[in-house]
Amino acid sequence: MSEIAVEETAPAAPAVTPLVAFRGLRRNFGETIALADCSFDIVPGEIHALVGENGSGKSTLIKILSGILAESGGELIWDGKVTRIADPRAAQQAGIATVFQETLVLDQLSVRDNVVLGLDRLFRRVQSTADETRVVREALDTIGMGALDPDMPLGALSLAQRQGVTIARALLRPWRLLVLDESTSALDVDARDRLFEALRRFRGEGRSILFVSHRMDEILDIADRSTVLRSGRSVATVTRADTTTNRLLELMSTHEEAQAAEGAVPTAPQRAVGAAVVTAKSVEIVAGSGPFDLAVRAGEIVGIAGLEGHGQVAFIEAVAGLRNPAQGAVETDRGVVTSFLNAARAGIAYLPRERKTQGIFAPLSVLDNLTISALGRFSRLGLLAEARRRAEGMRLIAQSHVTTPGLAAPVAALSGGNQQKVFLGRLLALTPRVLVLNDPMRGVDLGAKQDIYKILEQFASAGGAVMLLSTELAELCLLCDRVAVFHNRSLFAVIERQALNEQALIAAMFGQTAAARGAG
Amino acid sequence: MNWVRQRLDVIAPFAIAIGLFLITAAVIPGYGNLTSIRSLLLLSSLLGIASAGQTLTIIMGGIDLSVPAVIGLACVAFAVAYGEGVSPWVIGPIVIVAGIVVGAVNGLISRSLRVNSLIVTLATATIIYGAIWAQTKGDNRGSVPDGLTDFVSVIGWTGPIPLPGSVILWGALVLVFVILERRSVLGRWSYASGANPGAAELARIPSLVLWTVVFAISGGLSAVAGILLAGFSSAANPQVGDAYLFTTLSAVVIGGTPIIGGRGSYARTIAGCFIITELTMLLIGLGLDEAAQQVSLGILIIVLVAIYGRETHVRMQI
Repeated sequence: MSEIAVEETAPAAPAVTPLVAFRGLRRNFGETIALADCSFDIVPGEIHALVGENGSGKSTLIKILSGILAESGGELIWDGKVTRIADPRAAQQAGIATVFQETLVLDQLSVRDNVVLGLDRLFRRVQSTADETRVVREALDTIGMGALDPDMPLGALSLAQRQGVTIARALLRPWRLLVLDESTSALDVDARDRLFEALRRFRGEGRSILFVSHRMDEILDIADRSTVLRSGRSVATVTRADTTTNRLLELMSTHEEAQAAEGAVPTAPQRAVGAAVVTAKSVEIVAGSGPFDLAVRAGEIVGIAGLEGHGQVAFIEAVAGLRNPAQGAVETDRGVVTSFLNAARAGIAYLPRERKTQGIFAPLSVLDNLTISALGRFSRLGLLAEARRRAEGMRLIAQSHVTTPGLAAPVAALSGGNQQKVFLGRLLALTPRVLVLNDPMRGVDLGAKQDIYKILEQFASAGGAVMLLSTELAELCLLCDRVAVFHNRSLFAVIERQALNEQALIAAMFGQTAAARGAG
Repeated sequence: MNWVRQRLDVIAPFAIAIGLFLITAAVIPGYGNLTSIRSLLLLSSLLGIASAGQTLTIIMGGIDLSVPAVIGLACVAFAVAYGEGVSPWVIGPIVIVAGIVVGAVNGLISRSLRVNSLIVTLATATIIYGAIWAQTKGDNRGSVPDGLTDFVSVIGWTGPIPLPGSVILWGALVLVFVILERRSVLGRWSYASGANPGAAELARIPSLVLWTVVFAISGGLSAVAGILLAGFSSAANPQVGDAYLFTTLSAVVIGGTPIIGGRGSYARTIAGCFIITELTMLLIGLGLDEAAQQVSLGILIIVLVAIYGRETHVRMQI
């Protein structure tokens, strides 16, 4: 798909030198390719949107642009010259100001100190406090937060106000390109409108903005052009005139990966679905986000999807008893889930997202890693019956398709995929009724993925219930009987198997109902 | 060769312990005789008993800095009470139970309040030292039964065995600890908890129980060491355990158990205990005064730890 030239829709002339151009930019982390081939440019006086689902490479691109990551290949052309942005300081000197997705603030410091952070020298302040206060006020006023007390500690502010502070901090730098990485997600409508006004004003001054948002309405409202990233590739750049929600959603979704994986998995699983094992009743993830119900039945694999930060992780953590919902309750036939232990007793086994920090005991053996949660089953008076424990270890290895030199091998010596299967085997050792999995296929090689698919299929066929949170949409389409899609910290839609495809998932993740898309 | 390479960090402390013995025997005349071997075993056994609990707390991801204070408390309480006519069979168990309680409180507080055990045990140690002082006002008379003195005497016998009871006790303790570490639920939980505390919670390991029990074991064994040291010094001396803060930690680390936990074993600590005792005896044999001994010991320990430090670092990179 070729790039569409900017015509009358954007105020900048098409003939000008781009402020920044990416030519085949690549970045990989070991074997994982975060950015495969990214090419587009941003001209002076343009608001350019960057669109794509989770893991499409947006954040990687922004980190390269901000000097946090180095590219693995390709070119970044800044102001007509091939440039490598070595570190964040170099980015700042070039005139690139970035507001990151995470609100990087220091809770103990005041609003003023947070905004001017990094402008002072180590031992010498550049400006007097009074001057600072004035400048900070002005910057905050740009986004309608001029009333904020500069002496207030950051810890006392709301999320929206904290986000405002990070934006004000970026605005204070002498920038030519402002990068906003989902910086509007926490802002209320009023602050956002003020920010957009300011962005248009900056555009009039010939400055450029790279704008990342998951909100279609914002993109349609403000972007002159939009570049769509998919699996690390820039698939298209569309002008304002060509931008519709439908078109962007289409460009973002892909079918190839789903088809590639499909061959190895039992297709169209026929499982007997039993009674509900876990039920969310009027659950509200945070106060005011809207209550919802969701039941997971025996023999079912229910997918959980959503863009990052839309409440799906909080929901499955509530199911696992790791946090309490603001309202409502998660119930099993053994009562309300109130704590991790009580969820465990009800037969809910949880697989956390971070295998390294929350899962694997690296120096311990495969056997220990498999059985550590179920040692009570192999012990008398606190002493282990090793023969029985080893037998169970062998059974779990077979059940979880783990490839290992032996039970005594340290788990750290296994590949990431095998470690993940060991981790899953630890849950199976508990003979749970419900598996709650937080992105289990993340960072796992293809072979291991297919083994995990099989494990989940077998578990569900034997009458177990699975809640599978995944950021890989092809996988959800492949495995799930239905997928619950979260948007704005509430359940937005439940898509049944017959209607399940990537485009439907992406649309729901972006808060688009089928009817609205028809109209758009 | 490859086999040796892979297990170098396990073999190294034992090789050093043996090498050091041979060097000392060559340098110092008479070092190889039975008496000095017996005193090597005796001194190592005292350190070994005091280091056992320390090893387990470190494997679990904690650290017990109250070891010397509990030793001091046990020594004073036992000797003073015995001096006032209390039966050793009464005061002994009481003192050990007191050590267990101190340890349990250490573990309970560290875990339930999520305060680093370094701080908690240091505070407990300060409280204990203060309490000893308040009770005795520095007037530490007292005495110990002859049986106890024999138990920790270089020329003591245990039945037909020409070794003092303390060494035999240590041998039994080693057996118990090897089983505890390898074959018990508590042992496996300790390793897991030290290897990855975040994962331990999610793997349903009852951390509060684990920490309480492991620190209680450490406290109890410190008390046992305190009673033995009372026999060794034949008096109530609250400072008797002071050297054991540094030496127990050194024995653990020199043995090759990393201070961050999750790996290592008490078997390694045994090698560490021999190395430290041998070094001390070598330095004394060379005629160094106590100040020079301490300087040399400190330097040697840094050198040894640097060797193991590298080893751990490479393995961590997997």
